[in-house]
Amino acid sequence: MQPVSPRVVELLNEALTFELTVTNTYFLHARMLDNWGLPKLGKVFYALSIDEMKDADAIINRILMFEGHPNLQRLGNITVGETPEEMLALAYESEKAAVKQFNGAAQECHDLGDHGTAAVFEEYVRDEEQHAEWFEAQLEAIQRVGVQGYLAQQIDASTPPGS
Amino acid sequence: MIFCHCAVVGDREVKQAVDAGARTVSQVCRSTGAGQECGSCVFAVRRVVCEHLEQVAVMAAADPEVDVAAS
Repeated sequence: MQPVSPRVVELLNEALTFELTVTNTYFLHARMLDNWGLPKLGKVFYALSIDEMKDADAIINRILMFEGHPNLQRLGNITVGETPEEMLALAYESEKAAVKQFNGAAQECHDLGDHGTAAVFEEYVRDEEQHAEWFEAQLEAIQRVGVQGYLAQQIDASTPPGS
Repeated sequence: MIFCHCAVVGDREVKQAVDAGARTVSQVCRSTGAGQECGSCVFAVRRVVCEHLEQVAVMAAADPEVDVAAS
């Protein structure tokens, strides 16, 4: 099936680049946090990484539906936080950037007359808004209880290694 | 924040290189090792170099005692 405009495939590929970039970034953050002994926060990054990978999967399918070529080669900059707070701050910024990007893409799709793809972008906007809100809340919690207090909650010494 | 994954270089190292006298992206890349292998971090290096040079200039303007070239 042909898209209303080739621009739709470009917009989907730009979204795919974002999803693949954060999939990798969150995955590395997850494993670094586990390695630092903060598996509770690590699990959240892991779950988000898998969510973003599923979004990437859906975008790939949509590009193929439009007879386009999904570009899995292109990745954005992978910025790795050197502390848990920096990871949260970087994730917050990237989620806000995603909301902006997907809002723009949804608007462009509406203008082109592709309301189906616009609806897909709108759904992603809502997802990324929720992610941004969660990261913002974590940064606020750190402000309230201090970084030590926050990080103490991310330890899980109850699970034996290898289980 | 690490953005060069080949040489493991982040904003801290780039700022240190600027503080040590590097004034261009290529000087920073040469002294830190960033951007020498796959090259995909060069724009991130440039952004940090530009931001930090701007900050150094603002600080120098606020305090004329600080010698930018020597810092």
